[in-house]
Amino acid sequence: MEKVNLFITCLLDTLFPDTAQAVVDVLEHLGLTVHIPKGQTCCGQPAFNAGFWDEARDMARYTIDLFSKVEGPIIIPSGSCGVMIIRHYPELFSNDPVYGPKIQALAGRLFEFTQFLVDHLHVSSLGAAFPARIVYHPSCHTLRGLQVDRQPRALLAEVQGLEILSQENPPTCCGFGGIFAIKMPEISGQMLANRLTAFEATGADLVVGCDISCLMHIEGGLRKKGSRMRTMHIAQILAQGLKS
Amino acid sequence: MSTAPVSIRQGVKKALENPDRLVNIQTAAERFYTGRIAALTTLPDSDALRDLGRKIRAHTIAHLDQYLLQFEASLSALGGVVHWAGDAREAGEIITQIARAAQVKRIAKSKSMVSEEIQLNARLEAAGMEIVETDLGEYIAQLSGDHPSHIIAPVVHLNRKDVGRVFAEKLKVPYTENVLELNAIARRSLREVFLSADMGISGCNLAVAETGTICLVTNEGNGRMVTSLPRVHVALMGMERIVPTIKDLGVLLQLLARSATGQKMSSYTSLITGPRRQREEKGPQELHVVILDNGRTGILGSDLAEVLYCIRCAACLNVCPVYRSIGGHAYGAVYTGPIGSVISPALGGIARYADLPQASTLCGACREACPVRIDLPTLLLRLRNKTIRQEISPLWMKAGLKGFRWITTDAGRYNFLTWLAGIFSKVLGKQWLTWLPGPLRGWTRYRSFPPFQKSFQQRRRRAKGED
Amino acid sequence: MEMSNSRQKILKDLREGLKRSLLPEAVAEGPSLEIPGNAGGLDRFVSEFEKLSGKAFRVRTRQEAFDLVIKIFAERGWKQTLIWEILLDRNPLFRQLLDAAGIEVRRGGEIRDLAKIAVGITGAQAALADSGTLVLQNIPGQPSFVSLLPEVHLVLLCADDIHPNLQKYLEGIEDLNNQVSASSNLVFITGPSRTGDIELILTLGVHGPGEVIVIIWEKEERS
Repeated sequence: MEKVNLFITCLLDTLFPDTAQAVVDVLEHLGLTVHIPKGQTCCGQPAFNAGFWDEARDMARYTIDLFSKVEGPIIIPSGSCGVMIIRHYPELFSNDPVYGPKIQALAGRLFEFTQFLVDHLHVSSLGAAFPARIVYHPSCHTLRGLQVDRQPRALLAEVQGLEILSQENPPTCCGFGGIFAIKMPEISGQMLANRLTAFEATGADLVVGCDISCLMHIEGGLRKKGSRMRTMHIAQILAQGLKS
Repeated sequence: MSTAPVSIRQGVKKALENPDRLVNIQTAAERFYTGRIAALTTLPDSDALRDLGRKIRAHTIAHLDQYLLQFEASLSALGGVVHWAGDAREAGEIITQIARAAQVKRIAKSKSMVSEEIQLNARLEAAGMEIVETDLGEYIAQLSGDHPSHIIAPVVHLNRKDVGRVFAEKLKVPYTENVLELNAIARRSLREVFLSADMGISGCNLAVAETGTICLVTNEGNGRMVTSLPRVHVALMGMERIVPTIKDLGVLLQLLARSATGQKMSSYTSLITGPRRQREEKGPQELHVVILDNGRTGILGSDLAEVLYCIRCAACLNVCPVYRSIGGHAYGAVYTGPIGSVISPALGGIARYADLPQASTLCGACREACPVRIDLPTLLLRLRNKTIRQEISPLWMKAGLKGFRWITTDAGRYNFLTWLAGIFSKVLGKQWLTWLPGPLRGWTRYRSFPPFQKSFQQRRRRAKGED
Repeated sequence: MEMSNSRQKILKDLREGLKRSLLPEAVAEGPSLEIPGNAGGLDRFVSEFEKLSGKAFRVRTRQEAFDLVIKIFAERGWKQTLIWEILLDRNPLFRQLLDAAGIEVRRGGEIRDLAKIAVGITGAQAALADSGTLVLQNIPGQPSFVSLLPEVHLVLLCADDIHPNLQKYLEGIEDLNNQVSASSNLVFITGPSRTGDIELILTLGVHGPGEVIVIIWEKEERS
C-alpha cells in the first residue's frame, strides 16, 4: 500500500476536523496508508500575507523541518497553503543555502488533494453517489496559484446524482483574503455579498470548493443571511458519497 | 493637498453611500473586461504576443539609461528639446519656464496621468496660466471640481443629469441631459480652446528611443488637436514609458488598446517625431519632452522594479474584484486599482499609502489580465512586508501574529492551545458564532464564525490512545 | 545649471539601481519579433472599417473614385472642402472635376476659418486590414488638419495599399526610421472620433470627425 503524508493545515485541524477526517477517509478508501506527521501546525501564510516575514520564516522553517523528515508524497487539502509552500517559500528563503534546496525538494512532492487524486493516482471516478444540486467555487489560489481546476471538476463530474450548475463567468474572488477579511471588512463583506447573490441565483443547495478558508467565509455569510445554502469541501462530497 | 495617511476604509464607507455610482463603475469595468477578452481573440496568438510584450518591456527597463539617452539624442537632432525632471516640483518649474519663455497664456491639455501625479494644473495655475482639460471626461471633472474615478473613463461615476447640470452651471448653456447634445456642447466649447491655445500639453503613452518619437493613444481627437494646433507642445513622460524601436512599439500597440477598451486600435494613434518641419503647413514650432523621475529610479533599484513594465492599460482595474466593489475614489490616490496599490506607495511613500496594498485578497486576477504579465500580487506582498518593517501596523495584528507564530513553532504549545479550544467548544456548543470581540468584530458584522472544535490531530491521538 | 544636474543625477540613480539587478529577468538582447499576425486584404479591411461605423465604397478605378466623390458632394450639398494639395497636384483631372461641380477648395488663411468647413478629403499612404486602420502622414501637401478639423473625413484609398496588419506594414517599410522621422506627425486613424465618457454611451465626433468615408479603388490604371 502506498504511503502518503498529509499536511492537514491549521484551519482544517482546528475548525473543520470532520472535513479533515473526510480527506483521510477518501485516501484510505483508495488504498493508501495515510500518515499525519505529528506536531504539524501552520504553513505560515497568515503571517506572510500580513507582511510579517520574519515570523513567517520561523513558521516555515518549522514546517519545512517537520516534513523534510518524512518521505513520500505530501498531500495538502488547501490551494492557498499549497501556493504558500510552492510559490512563496522560495521568496522567503531566496539565496538560503540550507532551506532553498529543502523547499525545492518538498515542493517536488507536494500535491493539492484533487491534484493528487487525478494527476498522480489517475483516479477521477471513485464510485461515489451524492444527489444534490451544487455550484463549484474555484478558489483563487487553487485556480490561479496552482492552476488546479480541471481536477476538482473531473472528480465532481463522476459523482453520481450530482448536478453541477453553471454560474456567470469569470470566477470572482469570494473576498476572504485571510486577514483582509477583518482588516478591510467592508470590502470583504461587499465582495462576499456579490458572490452570495451569484450563488443564490443558481438555485443550488450547496457551494462546493477545495479551500476551506473560502468555504468558511462563504458559509458564514450564507448563515448570517438566513440562507439554507451550505458549503461542503470536495473531500466531504466524496467521502459521504462513498458511504452510500 | 493633504499628506495624511490614506484610509481606504473611510474611502470605502463613503463610496458605499453612493451605490448608484458604484454600479456605473462596475458596468464600465465589466464592459472593458469583456471587450479585452473578445479583442484578444482577434489575434492569432495573444499569449505569444503578451510574452513578447513583456520581453520588450523587460529588456527596455534593464537598459533604461541607454534608451533614454538614445531618445534624447534622436529627438534633439530633429529640433526637439528634452528636459529631465527629478521630481514633481521640478517638472512644474520646467514647464512653467517653457510657458513663460513662449509667452503662453492659455494651455490646452490632453489626458495625462503623470500630470495628475505631479499636480501640474495647480502649479501652472499658480503661475498665472489658464489650463483647460480637453479630454471629455477630464473636462467634465475639471469643470465640476471632481476627481477621476477610473483611468480610462474618468467620470463614469456621473450620469447624464450630473453632466447636464455641470455644463449648465459652468458653461452657461441651457440645461440638457441628451447625451448627443452634451457632446456637441463640449465639442463647440473645446474647439474654441484648441484654436486659441498657445501651448498644448500631452502625456506620452510610449516613446520610441531610436527615432525620438512620442506615441499618443487616444480616441476623441483632442490629443491630435492639442499636439498639432498650438505653437508649443510639451509632452510629459514617465521615464519608464519607452521602447527601443518602432517595431517594438507596434507590438505593444497591438496589446494596449485591446487590453484597455477592447478596441483593436484606438481611433487615433499618433506618432509625433519632433516639431514642425520647415515645409509642413501646421504643427508646433516647439516640441518639448519632459522626462520625469519622481521616484521611478527608486523603484528601479528595489524589488518592485517589475512594476515599471506597466503600459497603463487599466486591464487590472477592470478585472479586480476589490476595485469593482469600491470604485476608484475610495483609494484616495491618483493611481488606483491593483497597479495603483503598488505604485502609489512606491512613488508617494509607504507611510502615506500603506492602506492600499492591504486592500487586496491577492486573488491574482490582475496578474492574469496584465498584457505584460506583471506579478502584482507578489509586489503587493513585498509592499506589505516593507510596511511592517516600517512598523506601520495596528497593535492587535502585530500581537496576534507574533502570538500565532509563538504557538505554531512548538508542538507542545500548539497541542495545548488546541486542546484548550476543544474545552472551549464544549462550553460554546456547536452553533456558529454571531459575535466575536475586538478587531474580530469585523468578521461577524458580515458572517458567522464556525464553532470551536476538538482538533483533528487531538482526535487522532485520542483514537490511537496516545493522549 | 539645475536642469543638467537633474539629468546627471537621474542617470546616476538609474545606473546604480540597475546594478542592484532586482529585475525579475535579465533580457540582454531586444527580443526577436517573429510572431504570427492576422492575414487579410480588401474584404477584411472593409469589414473591420464598417464595424467602426465607417462607410466604405468600392469602385474599380481611380477615375470612378473621383466621380463618386463628386456624386457624394452633390448628395450632401457640400460646396466647399478641405483637401490634401498633393491629391490635386497628382490628379489634375480631379481638380477639373471639382471645379466643374462648383466645389470650392479652401486652402490657406486662418485655421479658424478652415475649421468651419464640413468635409476634408485626404488620401492614405496605407491601410491595415485586421483593424480597419488608415495611415496618414503629415508631410508637405498632406496637412493633418484636413483629417482632423472637419465633421466628415473622406479618404481615397488604393486597394494595393492595404496591408494585413500593423506588424506586416512596419516590416515592409524600407528605412522605417527615416520614414517615421520624416515628419512631425504620423497618425493611425481607426474609425471616427469617439467617446464613452458620459455613461459609457458611445458618441461619435467629439473633437475629430464623426464620420469617416473611404472610397477604395481596386485597380491602378496608368492614364
